[in-house]
Amino acid sequence: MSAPATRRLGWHHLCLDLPPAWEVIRFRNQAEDGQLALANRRGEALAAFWHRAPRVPELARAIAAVAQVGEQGTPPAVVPCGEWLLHLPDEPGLPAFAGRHLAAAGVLLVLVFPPHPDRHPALLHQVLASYAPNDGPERRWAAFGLDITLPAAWRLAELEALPACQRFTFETRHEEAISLARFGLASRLLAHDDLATFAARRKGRRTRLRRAGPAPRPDGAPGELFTYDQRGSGRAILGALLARVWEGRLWAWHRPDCERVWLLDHLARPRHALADLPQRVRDP
Amino acid sequence: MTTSARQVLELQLASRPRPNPALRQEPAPGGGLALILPVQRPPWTRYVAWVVRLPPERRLELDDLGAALFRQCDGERTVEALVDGLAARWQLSFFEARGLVLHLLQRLVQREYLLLVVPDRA
Repeated sequence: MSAPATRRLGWHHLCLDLPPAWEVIRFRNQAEDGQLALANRRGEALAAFWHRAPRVPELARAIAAVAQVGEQGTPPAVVPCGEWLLHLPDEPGLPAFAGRHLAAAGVLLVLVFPPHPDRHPALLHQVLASYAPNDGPERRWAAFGLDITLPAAWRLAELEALPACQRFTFETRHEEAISLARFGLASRLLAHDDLATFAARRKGRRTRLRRAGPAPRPDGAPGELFTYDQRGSGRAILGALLARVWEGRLWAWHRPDCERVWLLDHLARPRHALADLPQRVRDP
Repeated sequence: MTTSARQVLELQLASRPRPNPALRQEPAPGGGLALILPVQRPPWTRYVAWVVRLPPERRLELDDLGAALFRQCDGERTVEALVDGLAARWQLSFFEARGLVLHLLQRLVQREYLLLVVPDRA
């Protein structure tokens, strides 16, 4: 099986198709004012910045002003590239800038392509052309090898990106939670434990998991579904005691072909629970 | 990332780790490896060491994953080659494997079990 030519990145306000070797190395998880930086082994290749901008800014002038700082002499050329305004310097040692205003989200999105040995105009145009908005009712979160699409009410609350362990945690304002985790070195993790033991270890001693049955992935990878009870958060006085008990669901699956184990944990009120949650996760 | 940061990254990846020549290795249970390094102390500490029973050598046990990585540190392979080997073996991404390799190398170099041969910048 040949490796895909691109890999989808989904984050606040943006979806991009990027070379598979580009990985997120820096992020700020804020919808209104955030940033994301990606690199491959030869250095930083792309940085994305977004800021709240309810009005349409004078983007061309802003890009020219920023580019002017690095260039001497001739004024920098800013040209349209689809919906983007792009400044691509002739000098390979200078950064390239692209920006666009996302009217629906009221956000100014700027991409910076730093000087990089792999940077070439065709790649830049390909990246810019692959842009898709990510501000609709369904939002895609794809980074660090995790890939999930969730309704907009689910906000990215926490992100853990360690070697061989990546985890997204999403929450609603009702303090319901979805946690998607991916673990590497799977054959070592499962050398002495089965999936149920591994899931129970990760969930912690205070949670009693019940085996609810097999839950294989659509591609046939072996998986299991577990349930557990947890008291939901109550907003009243003594809420922690008076709140109702929610039934949580935990899917665990193992992909021996790529040495990965996934855990997908969903704790929500019954009426808010996403019935199709496992289908919303894409694994390679 | 500034140019200097990129140069640091390139130097890091081009470095070649090799074992300390004074190091002894013994197999450890479970496919692991025990690293034993004699401790050199100033002569005046000899009596103190005898009184407080300081061990004459330091010992560190690696698990099978660490041992496999350590055995590849032969002074010929670069850090980048180690990272690529680990990534290929365990289907990890480059940055995941780099994190694991550098974490281990950092500890072993700090404790002098490994020496890091850094290429000349010129």
